Amino acid sequence: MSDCTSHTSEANASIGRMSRPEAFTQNIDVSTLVDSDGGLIDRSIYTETSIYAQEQRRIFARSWLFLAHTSQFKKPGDFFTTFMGEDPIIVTMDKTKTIRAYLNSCRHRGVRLCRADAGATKMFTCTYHGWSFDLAGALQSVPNEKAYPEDFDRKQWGLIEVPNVQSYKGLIFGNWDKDAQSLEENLGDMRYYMDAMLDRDPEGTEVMGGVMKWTLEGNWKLAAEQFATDWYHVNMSHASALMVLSPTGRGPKAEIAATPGRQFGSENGHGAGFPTHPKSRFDARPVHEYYDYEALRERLGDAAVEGPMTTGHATVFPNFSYLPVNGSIRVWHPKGPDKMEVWAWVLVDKSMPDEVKDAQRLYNLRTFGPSGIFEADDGENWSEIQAISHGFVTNNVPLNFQMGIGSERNDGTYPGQTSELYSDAAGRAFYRHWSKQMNTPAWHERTEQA
Amino acid sequence: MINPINIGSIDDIDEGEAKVIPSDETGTGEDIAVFHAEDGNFYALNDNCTHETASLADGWIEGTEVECPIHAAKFCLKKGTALCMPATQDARTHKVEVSGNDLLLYPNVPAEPVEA
Amino acid sequence: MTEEVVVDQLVDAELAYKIQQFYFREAEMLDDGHFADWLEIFEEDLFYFAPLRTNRLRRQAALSIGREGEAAYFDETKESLAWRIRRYDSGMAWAEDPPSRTRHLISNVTARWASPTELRVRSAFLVYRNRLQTETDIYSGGRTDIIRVREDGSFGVARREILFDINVLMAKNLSTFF
Repeated sequence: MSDCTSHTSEANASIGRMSRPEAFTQNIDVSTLVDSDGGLIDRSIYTETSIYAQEQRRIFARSWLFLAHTSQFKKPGDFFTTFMGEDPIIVTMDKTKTIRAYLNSCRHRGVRLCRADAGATKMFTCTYHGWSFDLAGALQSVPNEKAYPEDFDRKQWGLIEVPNVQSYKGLIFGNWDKDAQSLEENLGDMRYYMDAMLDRDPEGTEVMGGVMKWTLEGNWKLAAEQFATDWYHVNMSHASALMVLSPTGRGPKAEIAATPGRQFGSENGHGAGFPTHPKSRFDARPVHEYYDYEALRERLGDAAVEGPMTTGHATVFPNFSYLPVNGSIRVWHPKGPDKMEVWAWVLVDKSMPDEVKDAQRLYNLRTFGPSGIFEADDGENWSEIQAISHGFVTNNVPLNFQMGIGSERNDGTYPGQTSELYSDAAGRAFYRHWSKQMNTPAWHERTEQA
Repeated sequence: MINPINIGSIDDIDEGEAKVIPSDETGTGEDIAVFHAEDGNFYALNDNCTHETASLADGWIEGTEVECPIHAAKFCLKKGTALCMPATQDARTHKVEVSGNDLLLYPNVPAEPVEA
Repeated sequence: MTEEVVVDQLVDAELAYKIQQFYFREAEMLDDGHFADWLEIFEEDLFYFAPLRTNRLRRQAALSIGREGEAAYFDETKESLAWRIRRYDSGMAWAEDPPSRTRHLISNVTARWASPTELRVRSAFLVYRNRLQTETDIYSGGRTDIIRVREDGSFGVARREILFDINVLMAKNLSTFF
């Protein structure tokens, strides 16, 4: 696995005497919009433009955001372009094989520097005037450089670098806060639940080619929250898919539909839920037959194999989600308060034989790709929440997150605070953390003490 | 007669790759890039792009052309001709000879004229 | 079968007309929601494939269309299409309840002989979808089919590659067929 480290680039974003007026960053106190103890959410958090702008500053500019999988980078110069919030990002491997991430915007006049989705390069050259940056983000070439003032220092005009890039078992995350709590600390107990997908194979995981991308109407939190907390919707929303997948064509047996399970919610807003009924499995048959469950029990522990390794759901706060059952890992990119873009990858264990990888891939895209028989019904729900959210009265009526209030406890088996499978506990934890971050100044708001 | 420099074995430069001979070895005051082109032959040009500062050895070799890694100017490896903007000046060629397994570079001796 | 077939040569006017009508009837079945009938135009060994399309550096343009074995919009067999269709018939497929209104426009058809019994047919499509009140999607793309000409002169699609003219899918799902 490649290294990811923290960097302090010499590039300087605050050049000269530039500063921004306070009017640009008026913050709203959101504490009365989220009642995470009483389980009520004000609908304005999905629709207000000012709240959306504050999220860019206080959620996306300071949280660990998923960038890419380590298997996307094999050689120096391999790159992938993505977003952190609405900020465009180049992720690349430098000459020392370190994964680094830069703002995908030329330092000169701000053009999107790299317009390819992925590839291999030696330099990132702007097609406007030709400023050219190397894999370490340094400005290497400025056409007609002699015409710039004497104090023009190329070192200061390197790419703006994401100061904190760290990976956890193949998943690369970036954080604009150079003093952020480390990724592993931030994940905390969530690592146990992630390991049930990421650590089945001593060789680790890899992604198969291509990222499925699609757009839909709906605030990004609707999807992130659902993947954190919502097993409840499965039997209703996905009734048609469950019927098609069951051998009888009539849907799962009663004990599976009413399966017991647990739901984990973290103080950092992460969440994961999973059934614990031994027959509650919806993975592709070749994948199921491939696994040596005895060995997995030894590697991950009985509880992980019986719980979070089965068909569950999870969100790493704020906008990375995954499904252990089919290796769907995805980001909900915010595109304005009313719109999101979904980017979904196919994750497989490295040691799987090719035909098992292929079974996982097909199952992934047929169930949770943009044509997937589960995905379509989720998207319909989110877009139908958003489409009617702007009415004054509609927007004023709070939404209900009260299932399982008070049920959160340490159950002695699963790490952290867990609730029942059918519960809104992780949703309440998600919004509790969201609200706290929204009301706490971020690194870029700290004033220099003279 | 100028004496060539033995710059190593032909196996040192894979097809599609290039090697820089530093100026203190070339004696010309400039670095020279030796390219193993996709026609199987070896060619040499001054390493520095004629447009801005960039190493052509770091560029992309396609057929018998090299594309500058910075601003995408292309040069003919055989004749040094600047093939497209933003380069307007040709690159200087140097003769390369294969002798057995060895590569011999003749700095400042232009490559022999070839048919286009 | 036809006496002299020249591979890669355009088919004659009569066969071209039959192919066109075959596609127009297919479009009718899709727009009328007769998916089970639609499935019958395909051969049992069908490969139905819609790769992803990515933006690439000019040097790597060859990678801009996803390959087999990668993530894709569709990577289907006749059987997997059948269970997608069974879902619509379950009465609980909410993303298509009430059903979208679609219009499949098929154009730019060129049919060439691929072998003495198979045609390679390219066509363009523009699919309009109107959903619920004002939701509207337009899917544009091209198809390359391998169509078997059976003994009785009827057609069976054995392979269909669909190239959507998109990078990010500008719709919330793909809940019709192409």
